[in-house]
Amino acid sequence: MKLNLLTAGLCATALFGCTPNTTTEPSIYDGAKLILNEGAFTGGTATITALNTDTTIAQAFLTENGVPLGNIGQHLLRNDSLLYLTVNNGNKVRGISAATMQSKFETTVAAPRYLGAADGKVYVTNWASDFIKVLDDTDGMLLDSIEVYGSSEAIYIDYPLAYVALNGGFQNDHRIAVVDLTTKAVDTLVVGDKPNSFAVVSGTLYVLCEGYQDWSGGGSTPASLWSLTSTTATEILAAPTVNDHAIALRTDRNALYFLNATYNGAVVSLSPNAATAWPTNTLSAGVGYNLDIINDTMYVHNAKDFASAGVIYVCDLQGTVLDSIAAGVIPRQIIQ
Amino acid sequence: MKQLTSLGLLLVSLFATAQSTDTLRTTTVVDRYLRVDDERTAADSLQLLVRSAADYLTKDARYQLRQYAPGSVVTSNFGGANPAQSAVLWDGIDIGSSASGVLDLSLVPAALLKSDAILEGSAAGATGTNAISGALNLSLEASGNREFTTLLSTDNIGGLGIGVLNGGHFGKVNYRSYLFTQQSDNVYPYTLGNQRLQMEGMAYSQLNFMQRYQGNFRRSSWSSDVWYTSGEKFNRGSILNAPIPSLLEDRSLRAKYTWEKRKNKLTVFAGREWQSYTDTLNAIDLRDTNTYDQISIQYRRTGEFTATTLDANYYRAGGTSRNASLPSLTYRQFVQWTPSWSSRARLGLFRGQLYPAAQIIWRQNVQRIPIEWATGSFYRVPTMNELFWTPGGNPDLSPERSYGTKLTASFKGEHWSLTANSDQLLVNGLIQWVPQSGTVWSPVNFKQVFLSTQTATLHYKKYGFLSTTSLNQQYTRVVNVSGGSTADIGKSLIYRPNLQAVQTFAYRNKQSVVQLRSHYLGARHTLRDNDPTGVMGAELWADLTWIQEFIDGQITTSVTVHNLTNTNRTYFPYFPMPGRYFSIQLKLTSKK
Repeated sequence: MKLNLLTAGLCATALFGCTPNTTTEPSIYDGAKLILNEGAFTGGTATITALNTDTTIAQAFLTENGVPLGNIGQHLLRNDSLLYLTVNNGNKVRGISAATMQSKFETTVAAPRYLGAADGKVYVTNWASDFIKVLDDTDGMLLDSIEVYGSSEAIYIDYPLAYVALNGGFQNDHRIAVVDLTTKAVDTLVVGDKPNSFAVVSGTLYVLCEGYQDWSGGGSTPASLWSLTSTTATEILAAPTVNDHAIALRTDRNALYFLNATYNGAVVSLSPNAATAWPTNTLSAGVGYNLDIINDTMYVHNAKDFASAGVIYVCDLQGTVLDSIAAGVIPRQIIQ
Repeated sequence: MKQLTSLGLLLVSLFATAQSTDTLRTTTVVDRYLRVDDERTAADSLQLLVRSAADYLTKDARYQLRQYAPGSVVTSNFGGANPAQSAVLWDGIDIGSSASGVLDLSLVPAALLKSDAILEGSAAGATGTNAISGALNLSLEASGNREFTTLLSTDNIGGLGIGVLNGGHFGKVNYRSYLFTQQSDNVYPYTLGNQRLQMEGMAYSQLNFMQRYQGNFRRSSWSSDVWYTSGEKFNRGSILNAPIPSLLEDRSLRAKYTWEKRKNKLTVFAGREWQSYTDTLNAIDLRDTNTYDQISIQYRRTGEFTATTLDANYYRAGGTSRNASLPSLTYRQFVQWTPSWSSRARLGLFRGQLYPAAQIIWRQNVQRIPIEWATGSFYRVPTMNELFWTPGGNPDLSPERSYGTKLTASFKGEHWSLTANSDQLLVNGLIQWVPQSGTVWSPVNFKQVFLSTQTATLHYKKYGFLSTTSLNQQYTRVVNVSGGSTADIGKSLIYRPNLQAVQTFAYRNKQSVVQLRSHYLGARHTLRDNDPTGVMGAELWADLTWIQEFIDGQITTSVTVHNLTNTNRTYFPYFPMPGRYFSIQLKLTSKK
């Protein structure tokens, strides 16, 4: 008995005494492009496709964690070493290690939409309440809620101010909530119907409004583009007809780019300071479900029939297709 | 008007043909396809009274089920086609919803299934008013035999069912009633990756009540039926979704009256279905409430070699997402030309257009090896949801058009029988919802698909031993698409297993029966482009049942171990079906 205990003790000492190997292998996810795929609306799971120079992992989160992300991936945000993800129908915000793709936390937020991060906090917009949720950026703990007086969509943070697009969720709204994140004071600005995305060019913040699509009557309104300050909203352009709707405002820091339809949109661009008319000259085919611009490269997300693996077209800023990337079901976003 | 006149002339000519044929031939009208009869074990006879049609039919490989959890909403098909392309008939009246195209078989009691309930494949197009492939026949007969049966069913995943079956006669009127109520918490463990989880949030409850009276009056016979169904089904159990209320409520009332005198039969049917879907996300309360009404009048005249059926239907779909009504008129004619050759024609008037369909059938009535070959073309008119859903409904849709051929052979020995089918079906203008510009999805006549299905059913019965082997092999392909991407061409249709099999062994020793039923469900694609990330692997599982009868069968108990091998089973990704669980049934009956 004594001998066994002594042996065990020696082994334990030897093991504890070992110097841990501090040389970590570079993760396959280091420097990888990550594609967020929404997944099929009915019974599908969101997936993350990881693309390294020579490796593609089609379902990175599922592969590393053994469980799916949840139904409808909405927005993926990288902040330091963590990725934050809103799972819309799944009603959760996930925190994921960017290096290992291991799940770090999971916080229940009903109908979450978009994310912004600042000052050690993650701000979550949602369609289930008139409050944006404030989470701790390390463990996802719910710290606070800030009333913004409407269902919230995209968020742009210029700390301490946050600009929150109030799009009405399944209904209609046409306001931007300007939130002082330190005092929680909120002011609202009136813009076009259903604001959905922000971009900054030359220090000016722009918001793209989709316009309302009225299925039951003649209440549709056209898309529009507005410039914002913390106290004013100014319409720059409006689409010519109520059938024109637009999403996914992006920038290369010089010009603005967006899709000219909510499904199967084509990319159009404009110089906000020089534009006099709604852009009609399309840079891509009408295949876009979403759009991203990274390092002067345009990524046009094509969801095909929404029930097949999608594809992302890699284009230059003139719309010339340079390459394509095989994605998962309904590719929504690509980040690096 | 011109088309109505044409239809009228055609009707007159065919009636005339029917009459003249009637007086010339001497053989009997066959008017029935060669098909497999359900060979019921003792366990099946009990399950028939306490299960839904969706559950019961899983014993037959020709039936393909998709379900989120036990008791949940079902979509199903018979031989590869989609649910809207199959007919569900209640004593000859087509009650497959013209609003959605789908009748939820989880709400249909298995007690309505006669032994010849399933007709698979392309030959079934002539059986209903709007079918392309596959049909299910429902009926509750009232023989007049006195019976009073109470039923109890329970399991260890939260299920409880209680029912009564009552039958008899007063005077010359036979009656039979069936009442069964069932509920389940549907709570069961499952494993996903390295995590052990528990399914919750798929609770359901449902009630079925049917009452049939039938009798004779002078030279006429009549029957009247009432069928009420109520169901509440939660659907929030997947790990993909947070546990927020998502509830489907369904209530339907159907009534039918049939009067028959000599060769003439008149049936009047009226039904109303109320359906509500509620999805609650805290502040957001999505509630979609829809109604569906159907009034049908069917006249059928049966001659010695002919059968003429005229259906006048009125459909109305109302509620949150559509508001429309449609009449339709369908004429069907069966003619037995010779003992071997017969034909079926169908002519439909729908939204001002005439749609013809026809089939020829050859039957070789050799005593031990009857063979039947049927080939024809049918149509399926769009559902009201496809035409008028807001937003996206497409009023310009054309009917789907099928071209099918089916060969059936049956072999019988002293203790065994084998029925085999080979069915080839081409569907043009398959309707599919696709995204349009803007946030709108619309149905369009999008694809041409080919389905090849081979089935075989082998029964063997000797002494107390019974074996049934049911096989279904399927090959599906998208042949062509209209416009857009051609990426789907050559791909399999989704959720169609290439092979499905059910093997049943049962052995009776006096009043004890033991049964082992094994199921094999082949791999299925869930993505239209057949991307490998969407493949669901093959599954094999078995159920073991022990039955004990007492007092000449007046008391019957059964214990079933479901999914004996605790296999991971899934019809839809991330909606796991239960692992191993137990159920008990008890039947007390006055009938020996």
